[in-house]
Amino acid sequence: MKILLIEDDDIKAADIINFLEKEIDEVSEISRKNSWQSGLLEILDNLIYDFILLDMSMPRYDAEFGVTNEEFEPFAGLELLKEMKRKKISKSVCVITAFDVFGKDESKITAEELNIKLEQEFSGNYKGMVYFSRSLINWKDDLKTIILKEQ
Amino acid sequence: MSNKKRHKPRKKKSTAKYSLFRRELFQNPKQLSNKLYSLKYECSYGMREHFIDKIHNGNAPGYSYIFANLVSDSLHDINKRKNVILFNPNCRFRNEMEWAYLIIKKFEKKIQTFIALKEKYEKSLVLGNITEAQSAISEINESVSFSVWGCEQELLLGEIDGGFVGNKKLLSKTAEKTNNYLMLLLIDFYSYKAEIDSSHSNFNHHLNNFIEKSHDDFLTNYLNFKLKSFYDFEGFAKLEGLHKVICIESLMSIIDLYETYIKICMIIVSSQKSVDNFSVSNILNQTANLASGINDYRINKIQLLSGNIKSLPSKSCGKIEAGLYIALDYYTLGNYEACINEIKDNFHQVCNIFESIELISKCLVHLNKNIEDYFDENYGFLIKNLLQPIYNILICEDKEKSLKIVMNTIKTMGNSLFRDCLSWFCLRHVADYNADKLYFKRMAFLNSRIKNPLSLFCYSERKEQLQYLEKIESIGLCTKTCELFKSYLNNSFDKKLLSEMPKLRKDFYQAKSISDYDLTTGLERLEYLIEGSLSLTKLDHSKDNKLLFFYYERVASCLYELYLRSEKIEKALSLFIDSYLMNNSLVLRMNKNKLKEQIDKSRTNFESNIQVVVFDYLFDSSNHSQTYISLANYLDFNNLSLPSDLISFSGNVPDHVKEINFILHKIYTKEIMKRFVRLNPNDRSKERIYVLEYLIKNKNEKTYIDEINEIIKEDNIKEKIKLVDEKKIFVDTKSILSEFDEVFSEKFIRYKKLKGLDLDFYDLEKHHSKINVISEKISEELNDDRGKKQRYIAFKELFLDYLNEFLYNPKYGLDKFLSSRIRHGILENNLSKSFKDYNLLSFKFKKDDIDYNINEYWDMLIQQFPYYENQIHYLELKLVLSNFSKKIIDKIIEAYNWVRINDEKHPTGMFDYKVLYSDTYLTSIYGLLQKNNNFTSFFNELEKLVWAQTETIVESIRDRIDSELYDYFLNSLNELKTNVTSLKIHDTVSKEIISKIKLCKTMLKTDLQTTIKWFYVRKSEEYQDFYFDELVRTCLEINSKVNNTYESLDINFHVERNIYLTGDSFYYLYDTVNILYTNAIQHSGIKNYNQLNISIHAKSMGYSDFMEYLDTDLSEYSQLWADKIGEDKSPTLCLKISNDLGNDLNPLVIQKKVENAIQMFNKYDESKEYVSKEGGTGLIKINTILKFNIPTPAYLHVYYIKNNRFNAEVFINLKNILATKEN
Repeated sequence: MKILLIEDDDIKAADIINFLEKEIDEVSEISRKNSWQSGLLEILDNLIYDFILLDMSMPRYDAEFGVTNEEFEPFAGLELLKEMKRKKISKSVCVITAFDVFGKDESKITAEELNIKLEQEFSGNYKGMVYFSRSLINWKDDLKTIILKEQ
Repeated sequence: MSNKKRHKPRKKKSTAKYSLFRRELFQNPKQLSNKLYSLKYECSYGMREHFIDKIHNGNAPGYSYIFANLVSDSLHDINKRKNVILFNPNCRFRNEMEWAYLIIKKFEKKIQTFIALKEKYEKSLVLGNITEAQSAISEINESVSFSVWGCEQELLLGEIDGGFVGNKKLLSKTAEKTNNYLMLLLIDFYSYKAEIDSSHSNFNHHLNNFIEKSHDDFLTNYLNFKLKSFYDFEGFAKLEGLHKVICIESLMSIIDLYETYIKICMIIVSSQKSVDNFSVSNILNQTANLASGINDYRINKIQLLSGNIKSLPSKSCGKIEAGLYIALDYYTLGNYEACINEIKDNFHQVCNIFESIELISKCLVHLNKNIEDYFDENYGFLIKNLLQPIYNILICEDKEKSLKIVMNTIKTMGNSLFRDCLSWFCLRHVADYNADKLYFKRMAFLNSRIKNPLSLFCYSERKEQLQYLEKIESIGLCTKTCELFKSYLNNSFDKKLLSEMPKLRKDFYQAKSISDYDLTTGLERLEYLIEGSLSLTKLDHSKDNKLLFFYYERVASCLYELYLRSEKIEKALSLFIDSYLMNNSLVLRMNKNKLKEQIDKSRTNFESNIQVVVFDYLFDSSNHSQTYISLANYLDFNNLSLPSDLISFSGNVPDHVKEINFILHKIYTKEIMKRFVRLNPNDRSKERIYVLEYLIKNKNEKTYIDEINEIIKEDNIKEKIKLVDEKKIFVDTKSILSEFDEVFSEKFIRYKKLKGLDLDFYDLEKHHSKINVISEKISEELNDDRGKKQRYIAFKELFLDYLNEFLYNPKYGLDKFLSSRIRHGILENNLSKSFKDYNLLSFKFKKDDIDYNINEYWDMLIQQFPYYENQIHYLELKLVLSNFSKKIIDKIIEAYNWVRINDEKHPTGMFDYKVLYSDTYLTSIYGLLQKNNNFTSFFNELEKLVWAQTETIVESIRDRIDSELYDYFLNSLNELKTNVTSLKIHDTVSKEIISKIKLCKTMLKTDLQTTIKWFYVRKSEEYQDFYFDELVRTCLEINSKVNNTYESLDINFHVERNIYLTGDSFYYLYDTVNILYTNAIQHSGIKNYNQLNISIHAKSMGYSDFMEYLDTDLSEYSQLWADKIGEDKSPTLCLKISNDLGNDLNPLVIQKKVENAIQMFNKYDESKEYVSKEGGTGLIKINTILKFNIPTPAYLHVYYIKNNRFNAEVFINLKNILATKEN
């Protein structure tokens, strides 16, 4: 199983990759991208992945673009899912997030609400949400369950 | 059944119940309050009527509880009743309305006097006769009562007569006459509301800010009712809290009680809803009874609208009103001149009837005349605030702006005439507002003095509509108009009537009428009319365009509705977009929501339709995601990859070039660009310039050129920005100011206007928090003095608004950046990194678990020693690690919460700005900024102050991480080491843990230092220090890029290389050089740039050299300069830009222009508006920059002509802007 991880936080990404490599035998290859743009380009150009692990809030571009890296998008993952839908790309996606709440004020939405929204809007691709925390362990089981279910 | 009949006095008044109650009232004065409470809320209507009568006549005690101060001889007495019947929060609305009605009945004569004087006041107000209007209010105060209503009107007159200053003087004066909190609160709001220059949206922002802070439902309901206007009326239709409003009003004056009572009746009748079983029929009964003693047109209209059509008297209007009905018929038949004359001749009598204003405006459109042709300057207020904007709305010229003006007028004029008619007028001209339009239509009908045939649509049944028309017709009022509407309803037009009507109106009504019966024919007719209008528009762009747009808009909105009704989506879309691209005001009456719904539901594939792209943008221009999807779909469909490909593609779709240009101009901006995944951010500017160059070729508009200029400038400046990525404390203050430009500009202008006015008022802000429950402290008096200056109060509001946005703006504020850049996982991860790396942190299985029992590393290691004797020590190790993990995680969570703005929700947040809210602090900065009257520099100063506080905060966070956090982690690791050592576990395990603790300790400092680096302030404009010659070269380069013909200029460039200046002056010095350089080109009078020589010289001169230069060449400034710099001996930057002048230019004319500009320096340099204008204002802008933006103690700029060359010289003392070079 080939997995694409789109995640800007190096430490979180390392934890996830470490877990996938050690704990899920079915995983044969893991690639990682750091931003909305590099992640989306990877999906559009390389249709080889079986599963996409997606952070919700991240920068729009990789750090190499310097000042434009200030464009941090609270719903980058959602935008990416929308573009996949628009382009009719069918891939299994799991959102891994460390947040309980996303956005602010009018656009504020809880993880549970977002999960429901994603289930409704992207019922084909979206496979579930995993709550990630370095001080918890159960995210591993949750992630494993979702990935293996798609096997 | 009539009310009189229902509430017929009981025959047996002396029943035991009545007698007992009467006895109790008399016998136990201490229980009077309770008895009256019981009378109001627990007794029958008959009993209440009986005893109110007795009390009013002095035949029973309790007068002071019910009637005291309803008629007040002074403002001081209002809301000062000593004895009050307590409010029953569970009471029914019916109780309060009946109570109010019974009280009002006792003051019929007073109210009748009020109604007559009010009419006199309103007419004088419209006619601009302020003295007469003031005398009418004084008469009301003297012969009826002082009132809140009167205060509102007086403040309005103060504003109209004496402008902002007049209004504020009156506010201070009024505050001397009362110290009642509620009264002061109301007059403060009324004063704000009366300000002609403050917009409807800004006033609502001000009011909502207060309401959000108020915890008292009572007060919130009351203020909403009294102060909100226009769209916000919708809230009233919900009818919640009206019983509280009328209850408060029964404590004010009889005028306020009556006006509120009538307004509530109108609301209930218009909404056709009942509250607590108090329904339209109850209103009908009460108002029928009131009609016998009070002649108020609103009462008659309530009767008429509630179903009493037949009761309309046969002679229902006077002579003057009859003239207006005649005018209506003239209009129907197209006799516009006669219509205007009929109204104009009696204008002083009918000016308070909204229909007269609307009819005049419509006639002027048809006659293609201007308002000034009929109304002279004496009608200034009427023209500016009503006639002109209404006229513009009708002809679709700047419609949105004009609608805003009308909304401001509604706000300003408040609870007097036109309020509901104007609200309905506005609503008729916008389609998307989601309101119960029938409700507004009815409110307007009730608030108009005439029975307009057009009001037939206030009735929902056709039968009632016809009945209404027939009744009006039968009493001989505007028979032609009634006939037209009857024909329209029946779709049967009399030939004679048609022959008398103007063609456009006739065709439109016929087409509209038939569409109700035969949709297809209706559509055909309207399409035919639209085609006709379009061809006329194309033929004649001058004379009749006003009228064409007037009709086109009506026909197109009607056709659009029919398209939607028949689900002809593409046709509706096409009509919408074509109309919009012709004149964007034409679509405001078309309901976008309905079309959007149909498009979304439709199975048709719209990917190939370019108009959907434009529509999605117009539907919600802030929904970039949806706009992008439509645009990307269209591009994909046509095998194009980027929107710039549309340029070459436009030849394939010649009918949609307008749409393509619109997309390129309006839609394809940075927000949309960033969604095109293959467009790298660094190429965006290039892409945008490419598009703009194409647009310039098509239409050489200045806005395109300006945008290119701006992009290049931004890019060049960006290169100079010092990128310090580790600094994460950021606020985009530029964007905040831009987003709230209107609000902040208005507030700043208010603050400026109060300068020099020694006007006091209460600082009510301080009392809002104390008086949380107004219902319990309705008569609260303020005992402190009116010590605060109005200007200080305005300043405080401005500063706190700015601070609020700085901290909490969801897009650009500090909290957003703290969240996305620090709290977003990265802090937690960074702080726990080493503990995790050395396996010292254990985990919980689930969020809800208490213990951190999972540590795979040690679990695995321990399993290697199965022979280990005492298993219990494993468990002890797990426990030690679990406790350690808990301590560390808790501390990390604590540190996470430091990175929050300190407020009620986050008391441990270290970003604590409370000190900035204190009066002590605000007073000191108020003093500091007193003299700063320039918008930009004022806000720069505010920004600096907030940053200064932020600097202090981040310093303490750095300290806390460096000391507290470090010590805590270190101690915890030491404790862990001790605990592990004491365990009887295998040596290998023990040694490894201790070794890992040591390693973790060594790494800890590095981790914390990384975190500490984030806590430095990064301001939005942080530029690198720079060499002045770099700046000048950047300026020349940018200008050459924008206009390549500049490359042929003959330029002498002599700029010293070693002038090194501080980054914060870059932007301002750049603007100065740029203005001088572009002036030298554009005002040289030489078109062939080969022949234009420009010399640019700049050098730094030491103190004595410069003083010598001044003494020789500019001796008149020498002493002034020396005085300004005092002992300081810093060098001076001398910049000189000179250019040839064309032979056609007259040097005297240029000199005169420069002199005029110099004269303006002192007059206008304080005005933000002037500085932001373009054309002929360059020198004034330079003066403003030197005066306010560059922190220099002395500057000078001189302009002269010598040897047919224009010379500009700028001298800036470098004391505060000279930078130190880092080696």
